[in-house]
Amino acid sequence: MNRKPLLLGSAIWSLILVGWGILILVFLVSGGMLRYLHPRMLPFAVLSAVIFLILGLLGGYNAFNGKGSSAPRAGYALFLVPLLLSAFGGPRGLDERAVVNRLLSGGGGGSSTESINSLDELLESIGPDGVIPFEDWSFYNLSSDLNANPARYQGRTISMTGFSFRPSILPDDRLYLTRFLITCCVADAEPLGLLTELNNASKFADYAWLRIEGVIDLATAPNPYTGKDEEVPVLRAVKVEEVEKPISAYIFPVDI
Amino acid sequence: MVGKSISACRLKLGGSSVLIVAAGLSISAGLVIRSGQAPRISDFSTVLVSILFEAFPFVLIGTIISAAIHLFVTPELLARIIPGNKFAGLFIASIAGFAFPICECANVPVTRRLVAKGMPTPVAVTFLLAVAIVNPVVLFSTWIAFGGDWKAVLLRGGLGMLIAIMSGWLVGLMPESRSPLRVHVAGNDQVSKDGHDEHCDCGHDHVVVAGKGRASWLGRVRDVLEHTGSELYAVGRFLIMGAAVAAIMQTLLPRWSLIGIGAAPVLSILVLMFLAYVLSLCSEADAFIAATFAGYFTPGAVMAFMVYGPMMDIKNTLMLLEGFKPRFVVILFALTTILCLFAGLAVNNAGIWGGLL
Repeated sequence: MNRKPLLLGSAIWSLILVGWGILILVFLVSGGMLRYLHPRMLPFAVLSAVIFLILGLLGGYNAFNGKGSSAPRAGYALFLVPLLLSAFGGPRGLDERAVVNRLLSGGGGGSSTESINSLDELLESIGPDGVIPFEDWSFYNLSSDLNANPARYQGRTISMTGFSFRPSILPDDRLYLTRFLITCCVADAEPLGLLTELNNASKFADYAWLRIEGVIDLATAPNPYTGKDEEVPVLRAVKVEEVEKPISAYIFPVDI
Repeated sequence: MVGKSISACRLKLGGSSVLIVAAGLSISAGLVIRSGQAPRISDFSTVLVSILFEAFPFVLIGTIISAAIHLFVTPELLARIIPGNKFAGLFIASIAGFAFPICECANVPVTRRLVAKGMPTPVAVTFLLAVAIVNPVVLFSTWIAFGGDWKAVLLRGGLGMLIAIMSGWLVGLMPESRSPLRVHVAGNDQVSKDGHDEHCDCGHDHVVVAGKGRASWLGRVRDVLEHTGSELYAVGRFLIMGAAVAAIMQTLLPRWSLIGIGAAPVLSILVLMFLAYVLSLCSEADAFIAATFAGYFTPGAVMAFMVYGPMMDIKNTLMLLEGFKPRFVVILFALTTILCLFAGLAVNNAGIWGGLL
């Protein structure tokens, strides 16, 4: 019987396609994909995984039946490299040091009406003396509101988890408590930082993760990039504890 | 005979050895990343792969749509859909994003295919440039990013439409617009009058060609899939190269170093346009990054960033070069760059928008 030879080029290409499909599925199932993408992009990732697998399996079938190319192209390396980097490096997520190259912002942009309403409900349910939680699910809306209406929060106690970022312009008793905001994928990560005052802020390691409870006030501080004084909300820390980096380190706005 | 098989052998070895070396290097780099010892390499890899995870679905959707157009849409059908009046055509193309809100990564393969099927180049150019801005997802995220600022949304959408239409019209005046596609490239198969595919370099037989052939659905689906595979390779290589450059810029370029030029009326615009070009951000997310610049750069610069980025960046320039002639791509690049610069200058001088103020 005449058996058609396996076409190596097409076989390798099919393997690469199947590899991408499997990688995406593994990250989706393990939750690692959230270290790369905003949750709203996940359905698209599922779609791409399915298409990759179909294309790869079809291509593999063709390769075994003499349809395709025998010579592997050097260009396949472009698809192979990020696949292997990611597969062997693991879904690590953006390192906190990336904050150095990006522009630190005081708060998110804005929120939709539903979010503003749920924010009002949240503040009402906490009451005038309760501790306002700046945690993963509330962070974006609260920080946007804090930036837009700082007076509303003056004198209020909040709790917040973030990593310590201390540009050289800061004195020893101040740091920026920072989280990365992800809108679409990690490439657009934007650091959001709240100026925080605490004794011996400099004693904590750079980029250490801290959970801080304190009181919001308004203060004058120099902009870390222009040096010009501006009035910003500041968190005067009352309770500080070092914590483990949270599993979900990014902030994902829900509105978009 | 022997010489031929030796050089063929060398070719085979060439491709394979590149792959083996690439595999070895990436596995080693991956293991170094896993050890936590190399945050910069880790970030480069994370940003690169995140751009790919985000872009692949849209490139795949774009290539599938493109393959489907190839197999099911005839030039006659296309001619019937596009209005005869030139400006009506450009206008419809500029708002097509409301019907097809696709990521900018998808629009290059689709546009290429439409041109191959006979869509007039000006209409195709307007579509290509406008679809990534003038669509509900991008406009909504612009609204959110600027805290509910309607002016930002209207300016971005309006300028996007205007620049897309003007670019399309101006391109139409140039001789290069008559045959902008590279020949003998998979994905640019020109269809001749009797429906035969000329210059189809996809490397396999067509079960069916638009306008004639068997009504076997399985055969058609298979054809679409096989075309998608080869177009994915063709377009994907440039996506990955562009993403790699963007990832390098993200990890190495400190953005605060550009702030010193932030107030300069013309230079600030050029700087943010350059940044938009090299960062290659998704047009759904770039409004948030633009908002971070708003306190430090002129409003014209911020608006130029939001209008130029979705139209021209390193990722889609490379993808364009894959399918279109270099002269055409250069003309497109020059037109959009100059028009966006003027748009930025206009925003600065008109004083109608204060950025985030």
